Amino acid sequence: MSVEIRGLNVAIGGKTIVRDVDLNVGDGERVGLVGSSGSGKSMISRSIMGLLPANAHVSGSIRVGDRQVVGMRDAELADLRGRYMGMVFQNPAASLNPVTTVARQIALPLRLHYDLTKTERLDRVRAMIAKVGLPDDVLGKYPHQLSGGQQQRVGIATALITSPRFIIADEPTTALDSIVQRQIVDLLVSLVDDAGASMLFITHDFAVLAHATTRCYVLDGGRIADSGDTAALLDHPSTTQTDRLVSAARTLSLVESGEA
Amino acid sequence: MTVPILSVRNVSKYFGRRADRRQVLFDVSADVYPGECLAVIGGSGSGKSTLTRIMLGLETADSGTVTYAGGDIRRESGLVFQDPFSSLDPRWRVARSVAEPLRIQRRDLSRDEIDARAAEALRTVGLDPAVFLGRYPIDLSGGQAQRVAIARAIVNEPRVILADEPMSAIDVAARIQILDAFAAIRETRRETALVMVSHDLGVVQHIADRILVLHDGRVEECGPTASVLGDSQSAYARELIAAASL
Repeated sequence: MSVEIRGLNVAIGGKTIVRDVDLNVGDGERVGLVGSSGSGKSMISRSIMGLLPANAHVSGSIRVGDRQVVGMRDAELADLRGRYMGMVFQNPAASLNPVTTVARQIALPLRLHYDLTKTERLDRVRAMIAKVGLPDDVLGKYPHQLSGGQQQRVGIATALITSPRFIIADEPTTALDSIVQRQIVDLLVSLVDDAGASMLFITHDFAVLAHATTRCYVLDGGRIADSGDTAALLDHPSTTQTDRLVSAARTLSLVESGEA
Repeated sequence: MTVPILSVRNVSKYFGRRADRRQVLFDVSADVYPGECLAVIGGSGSGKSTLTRIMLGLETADSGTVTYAGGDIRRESGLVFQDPFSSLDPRWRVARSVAEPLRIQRRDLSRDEIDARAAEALRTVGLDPAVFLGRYPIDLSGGQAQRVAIARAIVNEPRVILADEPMSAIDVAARIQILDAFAAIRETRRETALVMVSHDLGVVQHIADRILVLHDGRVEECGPTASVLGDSQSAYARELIAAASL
C-alpha cells in the first residue's frame, strides 16, 4: 500500500513541529525516516496513523492507499489502522500489556477487526509465532517472562497478525542490544518483503537504516533536509545534517580490519 | 605491568532463591589498571552490570574476591548511568547536580572552591559553565544531560569511573560528544581508570585499551582492543563485531 504525504504541517500548543513535509512510500517499498531526537520523526508517523494528541493541529494531505487520513473520523481511522496498518514501537516492554498472555496480545487485533472463531484465531497466532521465530511455549507466557528481543518479536507478531499492507516501525531496535538489533531488523525486512507490504522505518541511526531501507528521508527541525537512495546518501552525504548523521554512524561502526 | 587498582578474582554470583536461584556470574576474574579504559562488552543478560556493581561494592559476590588498592571504593569512584534524565534530579540546576559529590564528601572545601571545581568539570566535558550551570535538566538535550552526569562523576577526581551503557539512550549523532568527553577525561586525568559497560563494540573501539567479553556470565575473551576486534577467537565476539559493522 502506498503512502503519499503532501505539505504536512503539525503544530502542538502553537509550536510547529512538522513543517511542509512531502514524503512518499511506494507500494512494497521500504523507506527510512532518519533524524536526531526532537526532529519530528515520531510526529510524522503518528500523523499517518491518526494518533496525534487531541490538541494537535494538522494541515496538508496524507493519502494512505486511496484514502485521505487528514480530517478522517476516528471510527473510520481505527478501521483503516486495524485492517491495513501495523505499528512496531520502540519499547516492547511498554507497548505490550503486562497482564495479557502473548497469545491474547497477538490475537487482539484479530478480535477487534475480524470476525473469526477462537480456533481460527489461535491457528493464525501459532503460524505468526513461528514466522517471528518464537517457540510455541511462549503463547501462555506474560511479557515479563520474555527477554527484550523476544518481547519485540511479540510486538512484531502483533503488528503483522492482520497482514497489514503498510507498516511503521518507530525505532524498533533502539532498546535492544546490538546482536538482537541486527536480528530484529533482518526479521522485519524479510517479513515485510514476504508479505509484499510497504514500510516506513524510523530511526536516528544511519547504520540501522542501511540494513532496513533502500530509500530515505533526513529530517531536521521538522523539515525534510535531504532525501534519496540510502546507500548513495551514506556514500555521498550532500547536506550538513545528513553528513552529521552519516559520520556519526560511520565513526561508531567498526571499520573492516585492514582499514583500521 | 603496574599493580591493578581493582582486582576481581573468581567471582560467582547468584540471584533468586530456591527454585528460582540462577547463577549470573561464573568464576569471573578481571583486573583494572590505573589510567586504562577497560570495556566490558556483552549482550543483555550477560552479567555486565552485575559484574561492575560487584566491582564497586554495590553488590556482594557469593564467592571470589574483589580487591581495591585504595581506601573506600564507593568514595573514590564516579558513576555514569544509561539514562541521564533519570539520573539527574529534574528540580536541580546543573550547578547543584554537578557539585553534589563535593558537598557530601568534601566538607573541607569552601563554597567558592566547590563552584570552581564544578565549572572546571563542565569545561572538561565540553560544556560552557556560563551557559549550563544555571539550566535545569529539561532544558538539556540527551547528549548535554549525559555530559552533565559525566561532569558530576568526575568532579571529585575519582580513581575509578564506571560508565554503565552511557550511550545507549543517546542519539547516534550525540554519542560522538560523549566519546569526546571521555577522551578529554582520559587526557586530563591520566591516573583515572575507566570501566565502560556496553553492548556495542562500535562505541568502545575508540576509547578502550582492553576489552572483556562476557557471555552468559562467563568471560569469553579478554585482551587488547585491537586483538579482540581484529582476531577474535570467540564466535560470540565475532557476532558482536558483525553487529557493529556498517
